[in-house]
Amino acid sequence: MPEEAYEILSLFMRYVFLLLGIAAVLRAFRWLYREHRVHKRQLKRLPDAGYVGELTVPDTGKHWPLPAEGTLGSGAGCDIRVKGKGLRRLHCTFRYVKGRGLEVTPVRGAETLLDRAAARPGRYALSGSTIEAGQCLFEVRLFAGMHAPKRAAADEDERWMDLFFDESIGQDPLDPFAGNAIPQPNIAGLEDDPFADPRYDGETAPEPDDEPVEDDDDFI
Amino acid sequence: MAIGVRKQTSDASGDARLSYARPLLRGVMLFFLLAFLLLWLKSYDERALMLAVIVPVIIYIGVQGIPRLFPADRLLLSLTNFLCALGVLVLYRLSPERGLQQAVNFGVGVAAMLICTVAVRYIRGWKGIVLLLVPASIGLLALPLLYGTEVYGAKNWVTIAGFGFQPSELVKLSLIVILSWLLSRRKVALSILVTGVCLGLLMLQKDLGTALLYYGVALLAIWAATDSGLLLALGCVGAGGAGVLGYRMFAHVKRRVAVWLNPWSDRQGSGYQIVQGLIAIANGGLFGTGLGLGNPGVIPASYNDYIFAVICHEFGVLFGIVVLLFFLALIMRGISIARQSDSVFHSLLALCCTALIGLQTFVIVGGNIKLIPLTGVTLPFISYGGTSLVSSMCLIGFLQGVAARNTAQLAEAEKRARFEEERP
Repeated sequence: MPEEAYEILSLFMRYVFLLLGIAAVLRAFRWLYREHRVHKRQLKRLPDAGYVGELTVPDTGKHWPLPAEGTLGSGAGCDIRVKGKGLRRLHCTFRYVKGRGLEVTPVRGAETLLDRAAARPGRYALSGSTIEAGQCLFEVRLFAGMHAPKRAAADEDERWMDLFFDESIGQDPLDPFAGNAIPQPNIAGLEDDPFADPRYDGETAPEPDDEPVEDDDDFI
Repeated sequence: MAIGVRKQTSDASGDARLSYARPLLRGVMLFFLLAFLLLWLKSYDERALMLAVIVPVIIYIGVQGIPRLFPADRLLLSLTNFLCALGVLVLYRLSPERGLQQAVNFGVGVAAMLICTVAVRYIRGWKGIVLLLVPASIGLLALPLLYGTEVYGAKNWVTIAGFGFQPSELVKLSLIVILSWLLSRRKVALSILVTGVCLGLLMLQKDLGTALLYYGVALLAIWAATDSGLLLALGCVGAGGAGVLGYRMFAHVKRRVAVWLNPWSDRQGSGYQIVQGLIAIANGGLFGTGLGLGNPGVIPASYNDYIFAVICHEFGVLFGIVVLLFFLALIMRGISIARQSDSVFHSLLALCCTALIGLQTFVIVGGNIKLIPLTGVTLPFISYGGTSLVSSMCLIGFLQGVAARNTAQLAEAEKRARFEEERP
């Protein structure tokens, strides 16, 4: 192509490229905005999304949704913030381990009892378990429905598996891709469990899969 | 904890309606089709014609095909593909060989991204991996001190069997995993120790640009995990102290600061690169000189450190801003993914990846426009370099993995809700 013709074409194309770039970036931001709206809508529709249970105060009935991991204390940075006697700013951390329950780890020197015994890594709170942090008493309720009488089995020393599969008890230890990351409602033996989540009582819990979620967004 | 334990919501983009993906995809594909056709018209080089077909097809497959086979976020894929393809285009314009090599690097990067996505999505227990990664990272960072070659004042390149790479680019990834895991288990002191060892090794290599990135990401991760203003303040004071110490200890840092303050004082010598970069940007103006009509080759390291100046030169400052907006969208998406995760480890992982991409972009673009002293880091996804591109794609892979986890968790919550609704 003659240089002059190329020059004219290239000078014209500068504007085309800029317009295409602006159109693409605007589309990307619009997509982001739409995602934000879907996010908010789904939070409204699924208030339990992201939580594994709840922490209640038996006397008052006050309750806090329980995330899969987090911190408990009186400080502003804690996921579950409770004002109470003997409760430190950061009192303990907790972590839900699939198939075992809620592992409660007190920060150094913070008095924390799990079912009236000292909480420590490797002991798990199940549905109906009590946690005493300072002078505050909480009861744990898990959506998965694991109940306190099964504690003995759950507390068995299975921590050798933690090295690679610390959240995969009951799965094939040789298969790192086995199972699913999502806490599952486990309804086995719920009939006799007075503390189990009644929503799953006697029913077969849904099996998870990785199918994409259809959203009902009509924003477009 | 400051982040991490939030309600997860949709990662609907992994499953976004195609009505959103398609217009963006069409625009991006048309952009690269026209750009490569224009380059073909300039020289009638068949390779440009080939790329005019291949690049849009790869982008299409990348955005539409990958999410069908792997759990992936389409918006992230679209943004990443645009930036990577822009890198191929600009590098092809500078040197067709480099452009083609970058296209191959892009392919390798996509494969690495998929591996990282699957790893983050499905691996549960990271303790063993972290235990292996800590000594491996320290060993890799020590490698250039023993067998490294010095490039632009920093001894950070290693050549093994004819294959040259920067260990610090790989350690970047492992450090993110290590920090995220340690901080998710509230092992703050240990995470500071590991970061300190890595920074010490980088200082010995005089690779201060990468050290700055490591430090910034570690500081942000520690602050996010602990919510401690004291640690953040100490970290900022420490950064200032380290900056002053580095300025006094290293002659090339002193030189760079002096050149940054007044590049015109030695415009034919040490200030040549900055001066040429600034002239190139100014010469391009708002709309650029036109693709193939500029003279970006006069900027030293135009294919690497100064690629943003090349973009501004030929496509214009306005287009440069559009590129930065693409990065901004990428960062916003990354933060959104981090906030939606219900696991502290995965939240921190996504946050660190996002912070690293953002910080790296800021450092190199700031250096190009003389906002901050220039340091030798690459512009993510765009600059020439296999290690850099592959490590950037791995960061996107980590983000994709966390996004896929969020989607799966939301699907679980949906099923639980449906299950409750259907109960008599």
